[in-house]
Amino acid sequence: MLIAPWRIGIDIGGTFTDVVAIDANGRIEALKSPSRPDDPTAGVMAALDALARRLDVPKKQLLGGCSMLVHGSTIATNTVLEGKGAMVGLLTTKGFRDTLEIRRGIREDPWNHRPPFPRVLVPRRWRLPVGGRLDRDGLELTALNEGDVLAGSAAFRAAGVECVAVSFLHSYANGAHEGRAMEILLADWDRDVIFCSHEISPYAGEYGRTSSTVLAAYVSKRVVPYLRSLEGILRKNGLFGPLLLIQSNGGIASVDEIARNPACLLLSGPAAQVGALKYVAATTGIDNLISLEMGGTSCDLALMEGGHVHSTDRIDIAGYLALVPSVDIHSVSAGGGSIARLDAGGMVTLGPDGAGSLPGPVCYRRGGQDPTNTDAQLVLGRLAPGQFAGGTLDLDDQAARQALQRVYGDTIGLAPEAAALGIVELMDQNLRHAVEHVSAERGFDLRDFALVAVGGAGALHASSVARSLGCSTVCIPRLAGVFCAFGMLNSDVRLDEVRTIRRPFIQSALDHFEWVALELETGLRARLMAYGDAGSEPLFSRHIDLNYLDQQSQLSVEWTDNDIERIIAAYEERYSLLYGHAHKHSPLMTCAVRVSGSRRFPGVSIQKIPGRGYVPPTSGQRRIVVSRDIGAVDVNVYDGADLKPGARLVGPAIINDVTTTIFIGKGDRLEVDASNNLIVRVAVPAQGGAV
Amino acid sequence: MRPIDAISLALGQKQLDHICRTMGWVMARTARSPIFSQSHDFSCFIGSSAGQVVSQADGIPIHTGGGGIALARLLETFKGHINLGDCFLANDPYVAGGNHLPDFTIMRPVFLNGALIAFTCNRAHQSDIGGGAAGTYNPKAEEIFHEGLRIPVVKLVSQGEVQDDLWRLILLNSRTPDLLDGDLRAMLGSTEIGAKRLQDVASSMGAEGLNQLFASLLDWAEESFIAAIRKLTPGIYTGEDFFDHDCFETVEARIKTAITVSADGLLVDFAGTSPQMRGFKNSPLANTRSAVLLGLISFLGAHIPRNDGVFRRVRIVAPEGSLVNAKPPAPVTADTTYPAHHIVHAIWKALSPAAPDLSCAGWSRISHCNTSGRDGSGRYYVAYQWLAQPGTGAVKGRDGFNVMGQMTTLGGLALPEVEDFETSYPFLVERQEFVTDGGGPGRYRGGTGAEVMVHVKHPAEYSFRGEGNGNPTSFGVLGGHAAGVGNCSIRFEDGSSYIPPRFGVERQPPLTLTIRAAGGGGFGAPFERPPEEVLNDVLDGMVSREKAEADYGVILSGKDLHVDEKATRVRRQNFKAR
Repeated sequence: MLIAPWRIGIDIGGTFTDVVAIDANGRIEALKSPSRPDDPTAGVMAALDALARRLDVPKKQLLGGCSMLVHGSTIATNTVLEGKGAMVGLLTTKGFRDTLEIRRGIREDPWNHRPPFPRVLVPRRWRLPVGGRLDRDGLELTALNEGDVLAGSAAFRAAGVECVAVSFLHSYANGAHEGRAMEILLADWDRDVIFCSHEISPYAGEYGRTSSTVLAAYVSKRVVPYLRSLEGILRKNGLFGPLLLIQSNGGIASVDEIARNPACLLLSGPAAQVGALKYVAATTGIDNLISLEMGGTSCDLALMEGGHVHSTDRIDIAGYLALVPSVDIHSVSAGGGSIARLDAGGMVTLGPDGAGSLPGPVCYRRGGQDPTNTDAQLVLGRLAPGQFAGGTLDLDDQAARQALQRVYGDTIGLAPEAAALGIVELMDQNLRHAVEHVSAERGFDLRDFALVAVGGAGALHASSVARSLGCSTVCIPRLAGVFCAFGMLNSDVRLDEVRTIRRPFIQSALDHFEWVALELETGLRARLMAYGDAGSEPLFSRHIDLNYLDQQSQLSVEWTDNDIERIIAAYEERYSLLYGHAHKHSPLMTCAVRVSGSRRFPGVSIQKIPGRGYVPPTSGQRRIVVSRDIGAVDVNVYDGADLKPGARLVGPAIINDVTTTIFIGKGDRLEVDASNNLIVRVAVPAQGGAV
Repeated sequence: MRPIDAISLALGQKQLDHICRTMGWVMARTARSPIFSQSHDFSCFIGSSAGQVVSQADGIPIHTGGGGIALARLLETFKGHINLGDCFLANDPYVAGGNHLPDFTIMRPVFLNGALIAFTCNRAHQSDIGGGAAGTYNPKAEEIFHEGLRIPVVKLVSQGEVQDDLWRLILLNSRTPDLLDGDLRAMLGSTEIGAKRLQDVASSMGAEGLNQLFASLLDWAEESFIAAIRKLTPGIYTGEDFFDHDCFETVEARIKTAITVSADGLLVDFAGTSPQMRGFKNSPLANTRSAVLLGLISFLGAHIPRNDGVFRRVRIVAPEGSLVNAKPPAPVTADTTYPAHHIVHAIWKALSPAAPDLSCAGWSRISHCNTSGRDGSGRYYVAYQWLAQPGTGAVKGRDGFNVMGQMTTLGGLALPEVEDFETSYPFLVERQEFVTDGGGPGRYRGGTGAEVMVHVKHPAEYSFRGEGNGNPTSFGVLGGHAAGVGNCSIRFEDGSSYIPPRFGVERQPPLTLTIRAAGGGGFGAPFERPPEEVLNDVLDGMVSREKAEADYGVILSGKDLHVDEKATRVRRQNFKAR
């Protein structure tokens, strides 16, 4: 029985909906329930039904005793991926209606020039010009042509446009023209379907700002009605408080906040890593962490430095750019379903394409023909044949072996076991390069970090990856399989404001920024008070984005007082870490002033059970391929349920936990800490391996 | 049978590529000039001890073919005098395998237990290297000596000691010595990191193991390339592209190629190509080699590895003293754009019949100029009018890109945003939009090109390079049409207008510049384009109603514009009957 009040987190993924509840005593219940992509509301309610059944309480009581219900939803992202968003009309500055489609001419891989750009979200005929012009300082050069706005509005009406986006040049510096256009539009349109770029994405650079605003409008059609209806249904079923959402910045926000800017929901699921990493840091005492959340198709990495998860303003959803405050998540196409092939030059390749969950790996026997990373793990014995994923799948190792034989054995005489080991080594290498990308590339030393292995497949690879990086610790939270849903329960309300200001960074400017920040804080305070009594008093933090004259990239530094020397020193320190040197005495330019407002909740606390060291029982032995050097040997297999706080064991070993399988190599030492996290002390060779 | 297995090969290849990218990160991070941190105009690569390029994961397409020649010159020049801690520098396109003088190449030998095992290298376009014009491009150059400092392969660092005299000599020859100093140090630093990483690899597999990996990577590239070649229909195919101006006067010059496709490889013969010209659009062999590789791989597919193994199966015959094998003292600095673009076009045209589905329609050349001068506060600036990029050609399955950077980078160059442009320069941009009917008609339409209007608020100098403003410079394939020509015009503040010369440098009072960049060529017959797609183009203003009828045979009717299916069918049949 849960002790009220409790919190509930619900994370909808493509296949499963994860639900986690934690009560006043720190007791946790977690389960997975099938998602309903056709009707996400039904999926949420089914998951809550399942939880109520598990706890044996009526749903009304479950919702009635819930102090905080946090939801992570992929509905915004899916709307983009499926191309099922609104018909959007876009008003642009006259002469610039193609900005959205020119896309600055950027293609990620220059060599591969054959694929087209993603389909433009607003066809040219519904991108209409409006006279009126501001200059780079936001001063008016030509007055807004209100007739153009009226004409555009009428044309949109006649065409059946559903949402209107407004993006004028230099509106980040002065939103007056967009604001006036909005006033005019309100005669014909609901406030909920008008999106202005200076509100959605107030950054300099018209392509990014326009793209973000169009994305917000495009996804709003499905996002806003869904959230409003879900909140109504939850209320009807006993929920007292508001429905809260995880936003791209990792903080939580109300439905009303999301309706203002639905683009903030684009990274909703993975962003909950912030709360989850905070929990890992609080329970393990390690606050330099890199997460490796690996599922069937991709691996998401985030970096926490000194307790702060790195953020960015730039996210890419299937080739569409959104500039909104977000957790900095590096996603690589590397998962259990990554497909292995032999190329025309006789080289083994792995990914980036994957088999997904349907047809999935060959061993699922759902029609998949191409061997995958999961098939390789099975042939190596690190995954066991038979029941998998809570009994929903039956893994066929013979089918996997035959597929490897067909692709590698019959062609270049590479035996299935050797091919399987190679595939897994290639995956480890791919993950290692991804970790280096988020850390070493940014000046961090991996010896100062621990990896956090989560998702269904992360713990199969993390120890090997850590070893090759010289990184000595891997943390596997017990709820690794529902990591994000759990993280939602450990999140704060967070709202961000940014004001783009480009002027020299000097003391008089800094004094002026004080007023800007106070104005932003006043606005945020009012919005934060809408969360009632929940959480702490509003707390604010300020940052300033700076760069050297003529540079385009910029760095954000914290701004706690108006001591300009201290801010410059902090900037130079950061710059040196990233770039190896700082241009002392070069003039600095201000790019933006940022304010974050939050209402904090007490962190999730799980009862700590300090266990005395003990050797857990094995559930058997299995022959697995440990590494190239060691080859196939019999190793101990453990059941995760047998590993209580204090358990200690030494690899090579396999641990089958409820939501994940853990592989540790020779000499790695695993122990369960008082918070029930699995901590692997990796046996790092004196000199890190290379190839 | 290869000396190493398919798994070790894959792991080794990915690791070397990763080392190249790591060198790239270090360079982008530590260089002083925005051309590196933002435009990434540099390439990092790894060479074998014999001087063959084995990995080149980081960098821009036109740099891809020249590294091996630079390493070969190094090995010839310094045989027996390559020591631990040395570092070499070169830029000369005639004697040191450079693309053109602004591209400096740093080559660092890597040792294991006293034996040379590899080179880590970085080729990067410097901000200024002296010569007749600031910023490395001097359209008035008639000899390479007008283009900047020539450097053969020299030992810049000897056993860990920077050669200060040499260093000072080089800096003294630049208008921006501080930038050059910082950027050269960044190049040295990036190759040093690369060397350390490569030593880690070598120490785990041994010098012999690394050698075997290199050999296998070259074999792998060769086999991948051969597999692609064998999908082409064997035969001899010809293609050519033309020049109508040498920067000084109108000329008739051409690049001709005859490609012999056999099961064993390609012979690319430039016989019949015009002699080298007076202006700086000449290509020495290293640049020609890069452009050939660019043309072949962009046609055959991005999956083909880009290392020197490919060149085992490509023989290039280039007449001495011609545009594609220029001899000193011909000026060359434009070569990475033009004639590289011409070489790629000649190859695309030639190979089209050998594999019609892979055909690439042509990309138009640029119409824009550079503007330089002082802004209201007296600050000096040089601005490329990059907002006005041309359109690219169509390929099967996609229309051309409407506005995209140049062929040299296969469009890898990002255009600036208007708001940043106006913040950096004393300009007010009045327009940047697609050009109606700008794209070459085809089953897949060419990109439209951009029309850009820029008000320049102060007197300024204009360096015109209207390559795309003479005759059409794109071409269609398989029945697709070429796009039209671009143009550049000027309106002064008193309302009078002026057509500037295609090439040349002029000083002008405040004015408004209108640049209309040409589009790309079409793929396939325009009458094959589904009428619905043509209708959409008309509704979107990409194609006019008149051209829909004339070029595509699609008759639209009604106030709401719909396809008159019967009239369209008749018109298309009549056309075929003709």
